[in-house]
Amino acid sequence: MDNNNNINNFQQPAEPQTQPVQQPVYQQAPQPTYQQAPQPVYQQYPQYQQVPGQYAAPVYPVDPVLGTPIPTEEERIKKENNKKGNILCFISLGLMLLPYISTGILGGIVENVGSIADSYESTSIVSTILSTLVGGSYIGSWVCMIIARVKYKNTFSKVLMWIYIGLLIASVIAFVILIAMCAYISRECQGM
Amino acid sequence: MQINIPSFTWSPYGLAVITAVVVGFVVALIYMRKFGVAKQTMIYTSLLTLVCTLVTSVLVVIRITPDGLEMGFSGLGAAVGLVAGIFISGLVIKDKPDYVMASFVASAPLMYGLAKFGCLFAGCCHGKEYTGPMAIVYHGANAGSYFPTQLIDMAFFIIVFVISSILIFKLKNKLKAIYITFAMLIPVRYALEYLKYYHEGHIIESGQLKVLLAGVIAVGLIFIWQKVLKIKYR
Repeated sequence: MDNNNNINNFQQPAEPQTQPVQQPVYQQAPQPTYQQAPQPVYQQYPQYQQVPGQYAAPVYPVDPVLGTPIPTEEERIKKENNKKGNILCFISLGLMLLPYISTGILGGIVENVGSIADSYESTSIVSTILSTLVGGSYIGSWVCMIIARVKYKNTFSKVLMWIYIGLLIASVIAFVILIAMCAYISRECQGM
Repeated sequence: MQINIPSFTWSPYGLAVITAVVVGFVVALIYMRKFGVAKQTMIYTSLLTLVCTLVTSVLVVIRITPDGLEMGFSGLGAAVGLVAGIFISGLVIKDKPDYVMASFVASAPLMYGLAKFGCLFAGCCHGKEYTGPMAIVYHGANAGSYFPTQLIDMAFFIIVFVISSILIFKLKNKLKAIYITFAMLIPVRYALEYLKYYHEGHIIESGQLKVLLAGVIAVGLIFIWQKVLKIKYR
């Protein structure tokens, strides 16, 4: 029992009082002031932009109003040629289609002339004139297409050329078959 | 010895004529290549000339008769169309026009000569009645025994082709070669008319007038072409 009292009565030694440590206070150093160096002025050369995966592509001058790139002289000439070539191609196409469009009208004329005049000569004259016109327009369409192809080299003329070649081959085959079937040719070829 | 031509169910005339034209154009292309004509000129000139040749050849013959539509190919029409086609091409593509014209003019007799195979099989343009050696005997529509006019036509035109081919390569003046070829072609074609079945023995007949007319048109076109393109040889 006495021992317990002794323990309880034991006085803890007083803690030593310490002074709080002062945090260092730094003074903000004045910011160094730099003088802006004058920017070098370079001469304007055409700039190139790096396109990923490609070589540098030139940046062309842009139209301030439209916002589209201003075409170069070469591009302008190409565009103009393309336009002229397309006009020729449309004329060519018109000439090529003319006989097909007017077939009904021409056929009607030939029939009417045949019934009115009722003579072989008049029908023959009309059919000769009409076939000459048809042949002339066909040759004209080829001439226009070839001028477009040689002078302007546009895509439309290339497409037309292949269509015309296909049509020519088809008509030659059809004509050969027709002659083979008719065997009319053996009738007369005086002076041919 | 006689040559028997069977009666065909399908007339080989058209096929023979087209084959002859194709062969002639291939020969012209070979000549142009030898002369060093540009590829573009060769292609476009051949295309336009082929169209002109075929169209004029058909247009001269095609007509409505009381029996129906008559059609075929005309050698004279083809000759005029060929020259017209080269003329137009020369105006569009001004690349060695004299060499181009010489190549086609030289190959024209070959086309004509080979096309006579078509006439031989079809039985048109046959000769007068004849029963001697080399007589051609038909069994179809034109049944009978005839003088081998088509074979003689063929032989003469192939000879003219060989001579004109030598001329265009030997002569430096291509225009001269062109005119000499026509100077051979027209009289030969005129003289061969005497052998045809329809010739009645006169000095000049409608068939021969057509030959002269076609010859004058072709030579006239060449003369204009030469003046327009200012082709001159010293």
